[in-house]
Amino acid sequence: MDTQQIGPDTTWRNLHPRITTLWWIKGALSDLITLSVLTSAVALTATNTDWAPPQWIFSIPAGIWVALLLFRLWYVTRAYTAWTFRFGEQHLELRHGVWWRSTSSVPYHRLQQVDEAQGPLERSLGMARVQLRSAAATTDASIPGIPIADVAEIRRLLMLRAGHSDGT
Amino acid sequence: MAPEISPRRLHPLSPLASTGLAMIRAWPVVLLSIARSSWEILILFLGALVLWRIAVWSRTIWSLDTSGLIMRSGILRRQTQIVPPQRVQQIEIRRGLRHRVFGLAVVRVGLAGSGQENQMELDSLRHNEAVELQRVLELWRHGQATTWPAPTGPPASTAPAPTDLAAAGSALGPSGPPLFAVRTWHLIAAGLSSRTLWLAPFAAVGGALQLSGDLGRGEEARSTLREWITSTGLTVVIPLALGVAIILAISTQLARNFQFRVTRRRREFILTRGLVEQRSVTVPQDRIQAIQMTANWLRVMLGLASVQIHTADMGPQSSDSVDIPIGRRDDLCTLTDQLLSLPTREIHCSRHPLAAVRREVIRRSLRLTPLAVIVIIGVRGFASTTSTEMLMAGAVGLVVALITGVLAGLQRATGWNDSAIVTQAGFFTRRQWTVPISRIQSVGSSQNPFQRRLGLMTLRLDVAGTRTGVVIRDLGVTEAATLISHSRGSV
Repeated sequence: MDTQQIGPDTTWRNLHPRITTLWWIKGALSDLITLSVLTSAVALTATNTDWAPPQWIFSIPAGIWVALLLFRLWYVTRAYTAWTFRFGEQHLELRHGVWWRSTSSVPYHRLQQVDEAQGPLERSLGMARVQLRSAAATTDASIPGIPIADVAEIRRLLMLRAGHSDGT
Repeated sequence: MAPEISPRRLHPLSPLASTGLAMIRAWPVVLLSIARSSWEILILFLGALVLWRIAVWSRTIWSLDTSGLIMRSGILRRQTQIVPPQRVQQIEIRRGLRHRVFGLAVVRVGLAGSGQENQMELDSLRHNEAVELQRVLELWRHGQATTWPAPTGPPASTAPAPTDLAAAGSALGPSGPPLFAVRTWHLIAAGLSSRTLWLAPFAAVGGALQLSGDLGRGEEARSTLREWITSTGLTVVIPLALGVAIILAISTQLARNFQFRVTRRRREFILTRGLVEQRSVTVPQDRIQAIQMTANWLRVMLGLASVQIHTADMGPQSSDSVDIPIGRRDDLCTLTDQLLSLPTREIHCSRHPLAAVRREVIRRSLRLTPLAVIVIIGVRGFASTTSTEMLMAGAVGLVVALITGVLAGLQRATGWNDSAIVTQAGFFTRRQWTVPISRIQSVGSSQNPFQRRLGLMTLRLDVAGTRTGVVIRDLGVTEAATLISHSRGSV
């Protein structure tokens, strides 16, 4: 993202393409955990009862996982296309969601603080999330997948538009 | 000129007053000791409580200087709280029986936020001192010069204490006649129409079911239960339980909200109430974020409602302090206009599209149909429930969902003018939100695939002091777009 253009340019922009890798890995891991728990529950039931399921039944979760991996490949692409945001003149605007589509509009002058956060996966991919907070606890204004080099610039820009100096 | 109060302790009698409360809270220990005649344990427990309270008192110091109201407290973990007067959301003076006995009062200063740390509580000061502190903080908040104690009149330490909080309120400056007052019969109606009261018959039925379970499942047990219900149960126990519940509900309302009134002083509203525990809360008008009016079906029939004033203070006791327990709906609408200083009564709310009714029915069907099946399985047992019974239960759930869904869907309505948005929802419990547009922090919208097909949209107005924001469900897309651009243009 060319941060020099963020200020005057108010066009809708996409997230960094690397975010799709992050979403895909996160989804794959969460599917793996869910399926492992379910499979363990089935195996435990089989051990504690007279029920003796055929061995091939345990290959079903692996098949489902592969199918989910393929599904998520399609889904993250759609989610990436749907996720757009722009730094408007007065508001930060966000749009996201494939089936459940959401939009948020946060006036800069309502901004109370800007949070930056990074999980281990994001750290390994060189990305961070920037979250705007207003006085309302329900304000939903988090931008994921910002390249780490752009985070400071985005924070500076948001604080400037909010009428504050971030001290840098 | 910023007033200065040198560092000082809370009132020396405050450990005694708070020990009483601590004993009430630790009632199981006290009751157990009395029941077992373990007087030495009771004395040890009491002694430990008093010592602990004295230690807390000796380590709590408060003061006022140019940075604001300061409190240092804590025995093991020392903490310092500083409250700049400009950040104050509401100031409350509370006097329970234990405070009135000793001539004390609690001052609670609410700030923006939701945690325990977002409030400062001085428990307890001399009543006069509490009133004076409230006056100083209010004047300072308005940038007016003031000193401590008040430049005119006797010093706080020697002036006679006002008899109640209403009298104390007049000492703060001229306040007009009450904008709103709750009548006693309204409080009785509030008690009779409270949700907890109507749980009593269910509790009685639950008790009977439990008893039937204890008696066993045989024919003999059933006939015993039938006999009991028709003799003792119907004539004595259930009416007695209902009677006690009614008396409790009414007396709670009377004790908590007796002589409730709202008065106005400059740009602040003062809510005063209470028979045993007296409370007075000062809410600055510019801190009011939204107003929620609620009425259950009984109150709707009586033309009554209650009101919750939302400020940015979401502390543990804030919602208790800034509610208006009951009143005539018309009077509350007028009061809402006065609280917000906006003409919201003229806003005409338009019903949401008919597709919203369809969505409401579907949403309720998905919830109530399986619930009805689960209930019948729970009552009859999985093995003895036939598929016909499950189908019948599902059908009943569906019919209930259809009726309640249509009624609730038809109640959804939203309207706005240049200054405020009003939205209504619910049939059995009707809720109406009034949100000044200038108080909206941000706006969000969402659409699921079904809403997209039906041309509907859910809007979320993010307002400080509300836990979920103000959600307007299933608004027409065109109206939603107009409302978004309208609110965006104004905030």
